[in-house]
Amino acid sequence: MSFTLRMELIIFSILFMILILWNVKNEKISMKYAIIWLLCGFFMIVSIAIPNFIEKMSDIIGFETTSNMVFFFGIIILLFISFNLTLIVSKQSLTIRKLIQELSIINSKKLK
Amino acid sequence: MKKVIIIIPAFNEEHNILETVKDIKINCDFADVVVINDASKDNTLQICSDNSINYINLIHNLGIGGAVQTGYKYALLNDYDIAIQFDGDGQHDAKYIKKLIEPIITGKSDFVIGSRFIGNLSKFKSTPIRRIGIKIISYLIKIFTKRKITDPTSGFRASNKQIIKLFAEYYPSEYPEPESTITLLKKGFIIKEIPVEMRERKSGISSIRSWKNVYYMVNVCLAIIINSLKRGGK
Repeated sequence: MSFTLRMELIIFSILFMILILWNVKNEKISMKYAIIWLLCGFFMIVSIAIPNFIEKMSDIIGFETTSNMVFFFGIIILLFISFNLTLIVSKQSLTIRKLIQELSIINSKKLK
Repeated sequence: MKKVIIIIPAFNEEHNILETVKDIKINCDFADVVVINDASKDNTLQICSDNSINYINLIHNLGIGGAVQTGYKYALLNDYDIAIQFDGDGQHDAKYIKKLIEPIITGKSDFVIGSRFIGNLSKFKSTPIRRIGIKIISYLIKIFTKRKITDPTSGFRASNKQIIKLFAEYYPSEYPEPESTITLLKKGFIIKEIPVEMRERKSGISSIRSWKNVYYMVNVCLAIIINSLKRGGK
């Protein structure tokens, strides 16, 4: 990896981290859900900053090429995150349903 | 005398709801009625309040499962002994309500389903494609619970107090009838089916639309299999 590319990627990763923290600060993302993304950003910076880190890792684990490992773990992490989001959405829709029901029952009592 | 409530879920039923409630008032004056208006976009709400029908107005559309469950929650809150589900679209006939709750009053049964496939009372038995779907669901239920339910999609059902409590706590949201029936079978409740007459819906669109039929079948079959894996016991 050339020095220029490495610098560009690091700047990109830092901007990504700033974006997350900015949203946490403005209360658009709760800290609970930001942690996984911050970890992603942190790992991105580490793997770019340390020379040959990714190459060595993929050698140790036994991947034939470095890009295979990057894609493999990238997809695994995204799968994990989107599955987690499905869990969260399902839980929330149950909560919302309950809220609508209880509130509607209370409302209808008030009218009489 | 047992306290009986009739739960009528209604979504855009301005043409049918008044007649449905009148039919109930004539045929079973002993029962209370609650219409669950599932955030209808037409005049269903207006008709209910103009005719002083007891109703609950959902502040947001929940779909059939969420609407019916609201009725069960209402029944639990107001300490009813028997709850009857009755469609707001004019499909069901109120003169069968007495027969429907009889097995529950005598204590012979916990849950009663009005079936259009027992006997020859009902001339209208749904479209051929849906009949095949219902057969498949019924067959699956038989495989997984060894019990025969001829009309698992029927929305004409009566439940006792114990089941009211259960449904108030947990009720499936999208296609609730077959799934909740399986849950009850697994928990060991006694379910009985009685023959009823069903009419073709007078107007409006059924909640099961034709292009959703395949999705519906996959959904229900999966639900039956998953529910039959749950552990039983009341």
